Amino acid sequence: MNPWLFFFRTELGISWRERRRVMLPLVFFSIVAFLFPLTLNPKGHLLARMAPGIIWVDAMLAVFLGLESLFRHDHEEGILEQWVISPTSLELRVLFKVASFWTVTSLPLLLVSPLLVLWLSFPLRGLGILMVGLFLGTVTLCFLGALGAALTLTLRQSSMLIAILFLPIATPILIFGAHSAVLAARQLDPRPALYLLATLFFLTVGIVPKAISAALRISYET
Amino acid sequence: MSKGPSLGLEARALELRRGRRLLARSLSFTVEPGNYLELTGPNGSGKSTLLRILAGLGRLETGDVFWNGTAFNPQKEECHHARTLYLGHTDGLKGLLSIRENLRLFGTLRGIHDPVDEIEKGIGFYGLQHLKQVVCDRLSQGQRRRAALARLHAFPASLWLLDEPTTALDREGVERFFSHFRLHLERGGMALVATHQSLARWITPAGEIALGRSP
Repeated sequence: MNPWLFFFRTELGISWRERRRVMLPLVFFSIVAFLFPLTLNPKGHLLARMAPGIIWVDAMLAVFLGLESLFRHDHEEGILEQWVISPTSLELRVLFKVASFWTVTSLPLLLVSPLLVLWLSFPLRGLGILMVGLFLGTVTLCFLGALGAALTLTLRQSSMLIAILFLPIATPILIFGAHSAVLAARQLDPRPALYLLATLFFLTVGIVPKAISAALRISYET
Repeated sequence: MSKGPSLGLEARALELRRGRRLLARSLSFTVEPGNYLELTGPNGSGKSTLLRILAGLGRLETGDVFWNGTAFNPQKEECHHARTLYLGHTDGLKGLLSIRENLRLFGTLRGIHDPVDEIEKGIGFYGLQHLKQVVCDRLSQGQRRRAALARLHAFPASLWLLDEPTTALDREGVERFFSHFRLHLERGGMALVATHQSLARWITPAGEIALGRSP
């Protein structure tokens, strides 16, 4: 098997073995989303208008809660330092690592989003755009969050610092993401918002692995 | 005094620092093929720092490093990473994977396509056959160390940078390690070994780098 595919598969296998820790935030936030219709007045389309926002904040929090441990275990076990001095590409390894992180934190949410849409009585015609937007947005969020995690790797109590780094950067993605779904639900053209998300997606996937690699190298220099 | 290009690894006028504190100044040494140097000194004298710089983890601030007479930057040179194996304080094993899975994962780091035979040989050499399916979190300290050393066996490299390689090993493990180490040197390999116990009773080093004398 291709070594990169093997690496990706192994990372997924590790997440599967610690699935309780990895998946719990996601389960928690899905339950939170399911609580909204029970606690808000279901009449008056308030829920339908809030739905994209709820789902997007859910997605963002699911990514955010996993960030602190994204590199932490590999760092403590001495795996990351072997990455840094390996003769193979660190950038590509980071790319696959974040891809596996996305697969365990965001893909399940993407898969349950149709259910959430029904539950929150969001117009079904907005579902397709919501899912495309979620895909583009969560990948971007994972890479940007991973950069925050790499920058704060050697600091104690880094989760607060990651939050301060991550949340402002996440805001525009959430705005455009939720907005694209709202536009689609109102049968307006969602493409401007989606194009912006797509631009951020390609920029992030192209550039951020390099930045993460540099951050990891620097954290081992001292 | 000018020297011709020497084979092996040579360091000239290195300076070791931790933070702003100067640990050693104008450190020069040469390791030739088939030889190894012992790295001694009290705790905190910079043994690990030196190994990390040579491995390409730490930054080389002052001084030069040469390979077969050619200067290079250990942090940047990919071919240096390919010819070097660094074993630090941590074993570099994923606790949730078995020994065999860990070695296969390490193979992807070295860019080697699924070296099944080598891995089995490494596991066998360190007497871990019966444990190869066990998740590393369940292993004892010494067993983990053996698994880390099996990496040296499965993935040959010309330069070993070892930080206290025999910690937690039992007597039999130490013997296995040194018989492998001897073989490594006979094949023209090189090594720098940071240690608190003299290794001379196993294999005589070509020299000693004594750190920790006031710089």
